[in-house]
Amino acid sequence: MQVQSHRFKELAIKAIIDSRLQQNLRQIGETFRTRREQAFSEVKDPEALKDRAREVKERAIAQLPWLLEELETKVKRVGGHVHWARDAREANALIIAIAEEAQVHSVVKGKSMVTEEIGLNTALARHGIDVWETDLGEFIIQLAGEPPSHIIGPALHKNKEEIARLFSKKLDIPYTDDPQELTMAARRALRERFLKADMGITGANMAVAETGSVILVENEGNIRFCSTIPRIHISVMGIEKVVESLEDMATLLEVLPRSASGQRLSVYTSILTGLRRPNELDGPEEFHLILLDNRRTEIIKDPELRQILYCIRCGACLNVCPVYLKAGGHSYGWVYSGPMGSVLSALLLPDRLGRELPFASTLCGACRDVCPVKIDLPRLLIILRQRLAEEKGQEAGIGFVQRLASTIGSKVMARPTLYQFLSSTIRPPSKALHLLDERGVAGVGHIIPWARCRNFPQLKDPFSRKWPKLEKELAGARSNP
Amino acid sequence: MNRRSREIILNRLKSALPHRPSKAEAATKALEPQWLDITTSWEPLLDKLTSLSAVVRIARAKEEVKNFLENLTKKNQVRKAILSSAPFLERTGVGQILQEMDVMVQKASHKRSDFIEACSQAELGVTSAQAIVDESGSLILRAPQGSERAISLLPPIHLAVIEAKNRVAHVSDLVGMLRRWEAESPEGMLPSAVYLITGPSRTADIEFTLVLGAHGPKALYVLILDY
Repeated sequence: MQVQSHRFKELAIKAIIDSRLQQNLRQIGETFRTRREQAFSEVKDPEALKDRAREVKERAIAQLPWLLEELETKVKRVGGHVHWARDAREANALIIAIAEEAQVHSVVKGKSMVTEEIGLNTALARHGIDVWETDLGEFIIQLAGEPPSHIIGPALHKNKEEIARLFSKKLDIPYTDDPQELTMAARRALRERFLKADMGITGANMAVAETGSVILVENEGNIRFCSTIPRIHISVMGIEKVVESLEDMATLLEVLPRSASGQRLSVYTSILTGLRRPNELDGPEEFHLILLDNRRTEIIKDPELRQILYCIRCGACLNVCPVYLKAGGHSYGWVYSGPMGSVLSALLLPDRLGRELPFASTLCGACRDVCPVKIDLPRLLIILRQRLAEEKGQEAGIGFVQRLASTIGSKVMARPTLYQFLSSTIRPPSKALHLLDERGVAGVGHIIPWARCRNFPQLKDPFSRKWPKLEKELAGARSNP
Repeated sequence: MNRRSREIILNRLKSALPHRPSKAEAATKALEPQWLDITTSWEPLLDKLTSLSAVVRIARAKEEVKNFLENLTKKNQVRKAILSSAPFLERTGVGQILQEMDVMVQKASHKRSDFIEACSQAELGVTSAQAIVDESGSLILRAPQGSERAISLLPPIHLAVIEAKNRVAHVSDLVGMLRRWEAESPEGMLPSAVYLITGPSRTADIEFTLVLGAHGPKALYVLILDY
């Protein structure tokens, strides 16, 4: 997919004025938040659980090279193949080589962020290999030619009417906007694909070094299909997804479904260890594990930034982020969105394409509060901002004007009535500001976009009525600066 | 070519992490799950299964099994069923009972293509289950046990038959089970596939509307044998 992350601001503005998208985003936020809260309310000590999950990931990353070696040994022992890919290009080349060697014509795929990261579908298509996304949300966006807009629900930005139109056109079925009928239409179309496919490609939620197992979590059953029916199963995995033991796997299984979709467990949790054994009729004949680096070995060098490798891709941070819930997933212009996306994209994308994303945050900390592995996302965003500023050759400190503006700004923000009063007084001068901007007066250019997205209040009450409240505020403020 | 990538990746990691942290005192690894006594209340489990839209019955006599299967086959107009060849399932006589209800019962054959074809044609897939989890209402299935991977996936209805004594309290009990299977296997390996199944297949990808049977079974029936 075409990376659009450097156009975040522009895309976000478009998203903000799209009232239908805003409605969908509100529902996304509310639904996922409520479900996650309910799922964690059942847990005796949620903070202790998150601490345990954090410890599992910390320990895994601290031992990463040794665990990867152990994982490789165990996977080979159960008859699988392990391939190491330094970058996207190499990963795709490896997969295509496996496909060509086995004369694969059609592939069925489970939802996998990492395969989007490497642009696998495009690479396969270029080699004349048919790829079918089988997760319903991914199937929908594949038909629509769009990237995913949310880690857990990639097509949640679409209304059922849009999906109805899409299916009636692309699947050649009579128009229906009933989700049940649409889902059954997808089930029928994909069932054929599952049975005919030569190869199934999935990601991996985790891999257990101790046993050489790949763990896959889902609700629909499409991932089970991809890893059971076709004769070849390829699992693509970022190197950071390996965990040490079965106990560690169990800990992460306690937090991942709860955090992602408010479920105690997803409908299907698959623990796959190698290929079909001699006396078995179902399961793949060949199993390949692709271990992807793609700059993760860079990220791990920094002891603070390393934390982003703990991410288990639950999407909880997206669902509470005030920026994501207004801008929507597509504004982030790539595979990963929301707070974790802002960090990862800035680190994984080349040529500073992700440079706007660490600034796409209010640093409110809601993401840090919900993260099941307690990643300090705001801290990582600040570190990235500093880095980006340094790269641009800017001074590490801030200038006098900025300092003054921040001081005035913080004093005004702490006094609501004063803020209201000042906001309403901007209405008349805003026209003047436009004129000044046109004349190229410095600094005005920054105020205009800020002003454009806001409706300034009118001073409904006469000033005389507002004054007592304002006076009290200013007086109180003098004693607490 | 790939050996080079392997070395490069591992070297980069080892230069960023020069010392492997010494292993903390390893907690005793679980070797056995904690099986629940059959007298422990079944209410919480039954509630969980119902809330997941699964249909469950504890059968205390063969008559109840017949009754349950009759309802299942009538309600879903089952004409063809595919049965796993797990020895436990043979002993329960479920296959015979279904045949007596005029259901065409097929067993997992030896030829893979025939087997997959049979799974595609059947309305009902019947498997055993190794355990049922109180905490989540999950069933634990494993390969090979008579090819239960495809049987519990392709047909639109999945019936899992399990003994009442095979109940565990927590999902984490799965770990003890996995270790036991690993220890029992001659090569010291885990089974090729182990599944935790928690309800019938579902999706909410279209406007959060819950739809059952996205790809896997639309309906999950659980028959717990207590006799």
